[in-house]
Amino acid sequence: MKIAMLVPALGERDAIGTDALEMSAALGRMGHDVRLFAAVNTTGMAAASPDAIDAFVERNDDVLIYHFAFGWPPGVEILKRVRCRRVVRYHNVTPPEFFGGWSEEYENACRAGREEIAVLAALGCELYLGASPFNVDDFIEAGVSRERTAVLAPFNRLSRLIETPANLDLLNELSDETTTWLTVGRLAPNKGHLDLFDAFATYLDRCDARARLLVIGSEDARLSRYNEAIREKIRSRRIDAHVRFLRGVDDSVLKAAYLAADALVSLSRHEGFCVPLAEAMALGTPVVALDRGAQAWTLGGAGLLWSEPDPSLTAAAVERLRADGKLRSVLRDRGFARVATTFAPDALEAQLATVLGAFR
Amino acid sequence: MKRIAIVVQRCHESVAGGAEALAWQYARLLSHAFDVEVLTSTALTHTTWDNELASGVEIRGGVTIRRFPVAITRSPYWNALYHRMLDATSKSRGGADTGVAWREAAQEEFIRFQGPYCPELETWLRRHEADYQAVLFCTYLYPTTYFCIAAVPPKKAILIPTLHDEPPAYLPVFASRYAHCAQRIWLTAAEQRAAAKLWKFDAGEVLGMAVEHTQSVEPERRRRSYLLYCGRIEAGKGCDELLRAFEAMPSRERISLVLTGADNIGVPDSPGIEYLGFVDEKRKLALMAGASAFVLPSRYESFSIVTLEAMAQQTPVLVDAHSEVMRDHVEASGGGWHYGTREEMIDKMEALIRLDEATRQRMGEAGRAYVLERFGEERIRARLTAIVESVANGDPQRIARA
Repeated sequence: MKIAMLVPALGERDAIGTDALEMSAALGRMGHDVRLFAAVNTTGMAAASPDAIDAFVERNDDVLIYHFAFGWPPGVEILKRVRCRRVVRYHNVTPPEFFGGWSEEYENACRAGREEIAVLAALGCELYLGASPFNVDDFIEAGVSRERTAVLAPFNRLSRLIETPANLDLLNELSDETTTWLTVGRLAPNKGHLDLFDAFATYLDRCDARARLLVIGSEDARLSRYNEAIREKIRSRRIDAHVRFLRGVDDSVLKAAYLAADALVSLSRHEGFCVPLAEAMALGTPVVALDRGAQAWTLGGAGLLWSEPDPSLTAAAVERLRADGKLRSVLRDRGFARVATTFAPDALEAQLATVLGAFR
Repeated sequence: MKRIAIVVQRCHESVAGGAEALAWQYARLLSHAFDVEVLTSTALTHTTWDNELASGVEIRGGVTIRRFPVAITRSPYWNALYHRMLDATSKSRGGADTGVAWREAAQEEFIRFQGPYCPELETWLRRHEADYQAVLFCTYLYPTTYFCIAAVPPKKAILIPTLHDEPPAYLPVFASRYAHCAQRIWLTAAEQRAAAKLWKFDAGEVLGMAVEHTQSVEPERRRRSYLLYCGRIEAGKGCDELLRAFEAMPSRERISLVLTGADNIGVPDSPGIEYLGFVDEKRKLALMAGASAFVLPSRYESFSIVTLEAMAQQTPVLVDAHSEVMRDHVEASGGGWHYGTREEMIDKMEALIRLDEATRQRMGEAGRAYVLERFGEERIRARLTAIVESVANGDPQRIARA
């Protein structure tokens, strides 16, 4: 079967690029003729221009998989005109409200992306393939019948992270009795950093006055107001000495942080999947998260979840994890099982084969 | 026939490791009552864990061997982790507080990179555990046991730890992971005591390993009376101590020290020291039968089949008292002596050379009786089969819990 993989912007280490590249490789192993198409490509991998897509998937039984994570009108046009079967691979679009007051540019882009959900739903594509049930719900609410939807977690880099040696300097530096919080994810308003700093300050006050918080995630110049709000929050809570930003990290530093953390804390209010949760589970790092978006599904019972970002509850959850070895052990085993059965490469490949089996 | 699996880090005729020999022996003994599969890695060499064998299936002696690739081979990174692990376990081992605290994730990183890490083996077990009525996991230390045992319901898992009092055993994740399983098999009472000390649980059966060569053989006649050592000749086995002690024996000009096995130490070309290289089983047993004493100077032994083989030949044995396992063997049998110091070692080697016949016969008979009674193949087979049967039936006579 000929399968075109269409990605507006293909990046090697971002979640969407990883999903597209690994999914292409998996489909290739299944014997399909897979070709990548991207308007922007920073990977060094061969990817053709989207203009060439029609010539590749020309038959009715060919397949186009379109990776949808933000508004991109050319993608809609391609889906409208191709004659092959169409799969919308949905990674989620953050609702614009999260950016209100922070960035008009993001607000508009997210609004355009959310509006495209209805447009894509109306196209009657053969399959809407969400990275989580939470994602699929967006299309069901837009009128797609559940029969035309399926869930497949994103292909990922968990195996590579597991097999990468950790940065020993950082691991050694952090391997002490000081409680270590970790958060991973770009600095964006939906990610809940401001709530996180409140919770961490509470933890410093009540549990461990020496605790540290590692923040891994890139800063976006277009979100300067949000970035300044983060700095102000840290100043006002007087936690400067305890918060450490790690920017531009490679896998070895990321891994060292996971190995040394007492908990990965994610108070994100909107996630279509949340790769850091899967990374933490794969490496055995305890997780405290907010039950919003897809986070509960991704964790699958392998972490502590709260329905509200109450600072006291979050701090208490970290302290409980730090003090309760049996709880950590139970959650760690659940996390390993969740990764092995749902997020590991062979598990994803088997699920993908099942999903596409209907197309044979 | 019920199907069971035995998970072990390596499995190949060329592999000489004790735990691997144990796993294969159990596979062989159980194959009369069960459809046995051995699940293992494609590695041959425990210092590299390189993928030297093909992944896939081999049938050997009626046993199916499934090999899975190693994803992480040994690297300098693991060596760095190892040295840090010594710091991380120092306080619990009674040493200095180094201030190093490893979270469970870091402890598991050490286990994963120690190797052989075989994620496809873990996946196989998760998908196929329903096909096996019981799964035996051999050697606590390796990721093939640590990660794969979590892929099997505890009610089906039988752990054979082959535990030693060694630094990695103090990592808390081991005790946590192995606290719940259907049954545990300890090789010796000493190992069981070590578990009580290190892991705070010791439930399970002390079973041991069958001594396969117990038939009495004609002793080899040599020109001089001799002391015998068989096995890897290396400092880690105490062979340097043995050579120095022999050199210091007053009677050394009238006797010999005979050594067989791989020479990793450079056996000196010295009067009275006879290195015979590798010898076959038949000659090894004949050498044992003809020796004045068999000496095992190793401090770190989990069972020592070779010592028990010598005892089966009615030969007195001399062992290092620092090894609880070996001390237990000689104290429980009366078939040998142990020593605590170098001087005591020399004195007892001298005494064993000059032993009167009546004492030699009494010790020899006691040693042979001990081996046959406790480690005869049929006895081990019957007890092992009963243990596995009870787990496979979902009705363990005694559930091993922390």
